[in-house]
Amino acid sequence: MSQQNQHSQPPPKSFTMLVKIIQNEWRIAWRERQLSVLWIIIGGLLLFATFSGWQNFQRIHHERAEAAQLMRQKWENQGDQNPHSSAHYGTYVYKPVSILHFLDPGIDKFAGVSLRLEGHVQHGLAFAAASEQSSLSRFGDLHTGLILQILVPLLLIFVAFNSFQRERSSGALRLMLAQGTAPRSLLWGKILAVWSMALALLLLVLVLSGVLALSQPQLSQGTDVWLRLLGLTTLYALYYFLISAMAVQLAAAIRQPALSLLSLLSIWVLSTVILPKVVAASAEQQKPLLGVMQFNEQMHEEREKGLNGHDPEDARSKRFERKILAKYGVDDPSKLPINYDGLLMQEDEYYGNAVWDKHFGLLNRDLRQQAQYTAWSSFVNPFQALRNLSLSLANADLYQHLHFQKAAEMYRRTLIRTLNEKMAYGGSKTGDWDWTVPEAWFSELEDFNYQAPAMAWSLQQRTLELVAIAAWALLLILLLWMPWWKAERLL
Amino acid sequence: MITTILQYELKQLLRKRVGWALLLFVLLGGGYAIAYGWLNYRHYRTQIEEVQQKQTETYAELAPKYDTLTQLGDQAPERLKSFGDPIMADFRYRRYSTWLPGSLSALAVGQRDQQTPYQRIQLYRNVNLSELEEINNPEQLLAGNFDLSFVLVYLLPLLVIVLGFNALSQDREEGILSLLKVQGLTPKQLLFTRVALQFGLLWGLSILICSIGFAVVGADWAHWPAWVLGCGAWLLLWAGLVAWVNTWGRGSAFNATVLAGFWIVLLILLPALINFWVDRTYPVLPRSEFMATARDISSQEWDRPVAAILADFQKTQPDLYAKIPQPIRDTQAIKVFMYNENSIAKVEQLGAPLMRTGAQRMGLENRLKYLNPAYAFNAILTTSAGTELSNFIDWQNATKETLKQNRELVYQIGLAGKTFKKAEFERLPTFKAPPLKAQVGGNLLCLGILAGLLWLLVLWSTRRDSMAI
Repeated sequence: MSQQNQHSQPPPKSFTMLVKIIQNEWRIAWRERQLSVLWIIIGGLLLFATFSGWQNFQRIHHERAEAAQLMRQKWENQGDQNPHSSAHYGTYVYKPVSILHFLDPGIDKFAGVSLRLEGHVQHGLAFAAASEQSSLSRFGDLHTGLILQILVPLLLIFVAFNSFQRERSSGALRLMLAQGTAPRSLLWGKILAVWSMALALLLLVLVLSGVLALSQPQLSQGTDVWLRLLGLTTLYALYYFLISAMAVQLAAAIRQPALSLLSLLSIWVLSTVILPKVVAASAEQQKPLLGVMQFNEQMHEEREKGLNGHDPEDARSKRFERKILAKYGVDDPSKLPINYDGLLMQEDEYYGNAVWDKHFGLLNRDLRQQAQYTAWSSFVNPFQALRNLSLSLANADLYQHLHFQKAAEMYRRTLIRTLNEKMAYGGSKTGDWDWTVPEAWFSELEDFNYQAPAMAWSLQQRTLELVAIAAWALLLILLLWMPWWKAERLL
Repeated sequence: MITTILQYELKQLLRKRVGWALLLFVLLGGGYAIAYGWLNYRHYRTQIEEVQQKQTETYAELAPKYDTLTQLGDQAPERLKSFGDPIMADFRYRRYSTWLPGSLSALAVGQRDQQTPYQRIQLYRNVNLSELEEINNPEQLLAGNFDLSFVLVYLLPLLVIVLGFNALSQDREEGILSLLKVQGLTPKQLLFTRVALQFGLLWGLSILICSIGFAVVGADWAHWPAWVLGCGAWLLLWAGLVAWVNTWGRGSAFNATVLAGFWIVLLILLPALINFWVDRTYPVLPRSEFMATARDISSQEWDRPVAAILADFQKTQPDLYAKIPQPIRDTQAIKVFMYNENSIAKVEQLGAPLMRTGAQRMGLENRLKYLNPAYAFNAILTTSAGTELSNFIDWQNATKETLKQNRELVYQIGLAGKTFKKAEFERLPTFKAPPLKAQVGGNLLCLGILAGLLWLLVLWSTRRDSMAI
């Protein structure tokens, strides 16, 4: 059959042929007991994981919401208090869990969830659940993301690896080609058939997720959640297309089904199990992070000795004292109409904030560079792009974690500044440490209300992964249009 | 006949390009894992050593001051006298408890990367209340480590599958099996010989990689037998699975599909399901709420009248209370100690459910290891490397003990109204690492029993399905 003939087939006929091929593939897959059982098992697992993931999400959401509420109650009921004592008492804030946690919990259990906010000291996020688990937790958790990322592609491989072999051995392939089926239509048909099997599973998850999300309208209000859900569905659909296209093309190119299966399984193991670990390990080696003791030590030292190492706290305090005394035209802090201690503490806070900005800035730069390193590997391994984008769309990735940390620190700064200013201008005098503010005043201070970033922001952080997955899709489509897909090659 | 088959199979294996490619893959993977683990461990050790160095420096700085304080007694200058105050002595001597597993942890990182490996030894410190969290990239933690234990647990079974999935089926598909039967060779002999040869080669390979790893990182060779036997039992289990699937008499593609399925079930699905089970049965209790409540306990305790604090202290610490010179003169001064001890006791009581849940989780995981051989094998590697959660808890308990000894010493001196001199300073406890508790025997037994059962199944299957073979 000539190339010209293939192209001269009218579109409706090609389309009808395509539909027939897809129907046929579905019929064969359904008839093959192992495949249909596997499909049902994975479908069942998906439903189970989604539903139990939802329950888990609700538990964690309630735990954190209750903890946040408890801390607010403690804050509001602290009694009449000196503002500085209150700054020392501080409060805790909790990282809210994203509603899409039930689909992909991402880094949640590996990252700290609560942050102590107080005056003078800036803490890091603490209490990652994984630190209280044995290495069993490193084998992975059963969640929808794991099944969608690892098991569904495997199902597609099992469906696709001998999709040509059946027709080759029965002679049906020769017959189909002789009857005018274009090799490319055959390939497309098989790819779409395999892909549609994955889409059916994805649809199952989408419907269940939608129903579950609707059951909690207060958590799913706004368009962002739905956009993210749609984004996740599109992402997985695109990835399954890549897997289907690759698996079918390899099955067409390799004649021995065992070899075809081994090749596909090798690619699967390499991309989902080995490469992500190798890349993560290399990224870590590229930019090793400081230990928390050294990190805190450096911050403490710079706060004491100055950012340049030559501006000690004492000298800074004296300079500031002179400035304030000159401003009010007095020669001693005790003669000031305000409480100098409050001003001094706030001045120290400003300095501490600059130290925080420098050190956390450097740390976050290193973390981002590590993330960029893994992002580049998406061009070699599309699974990496899928994983990173899935984390990002579920609002459970490193960038969102850093976003929360920054928001909490900004809240801390406002809170401590308000307390220090109350101490300074609220009516007390320098050295009056027993001066108190009525409890009601503390209740009036705004509570921490974290606004998670919108989807556009999340995707902006993952531009490389988006480009990579799109490039992979284009490449695989391009491969399908290569001239080597001739009838002889398939036979 | 068996020798002939062995020689022939060995030649065949050596001729196979796939075999050489696999060998290269494992050697490269193993080499990379060892190098990564070593670099990772070196970085970790440097951080710990820096902390330990601080302790040495503080000692070197303080020791001469206590010498002078002892020599001069009351004649010592005022600025030195403050060093004699028990609370200040404890505060100034910066001692740390550090968790530094041996260099074998370079080959099995386990949970080492998830923990904060330092704790200050000081009067007011409480292991349960540490707010320090080691700086990590959570996305890296999610991806996991590419260490030698990963190669052995995940990749070794893949090699068994790739080498053995067509141990009989290929010959059948090529029509050779019937010819071999004519020559008096039973399929059972052929299968067992092939699987035994592959098992032997892969075990040899894993012994070689482990030995290289041990030598490179300078690990304690006392744990080498545990690793080698663990690899042997793990491979025996997989060889049993390969042999069993081969006895079903199906095609190579089918065998490969089923064995890949087993790999996914044993290494991904079952551990994830058991993890899920453990998580739902004993969820990790939120520690942040505990921290906030503990903070309130401390401040409430401080606000209580001294008499009430003293009465509680007498009840909970009768031995220490007896050492206070009577009648008590300055109750406010000793209130600090009693308040501290009472707070710590209350916080520990509050934290008991957290500890209990941790123990219950580990107990359940241990009981379920017969369903989860991958975890049993992994536990052999991580516990002998000292990087499992159980090892970390041992370290925490030892730290707790050091903190207790420290408090007792400071209380004894402080409550008696004495001050710190050279002798007391030297008695301030420093942390000593607990002995390593490797959980090898039970896990080896678990793997051995599972492998044994599987091989019994193979034997039964070869008898029952001798025609199919």
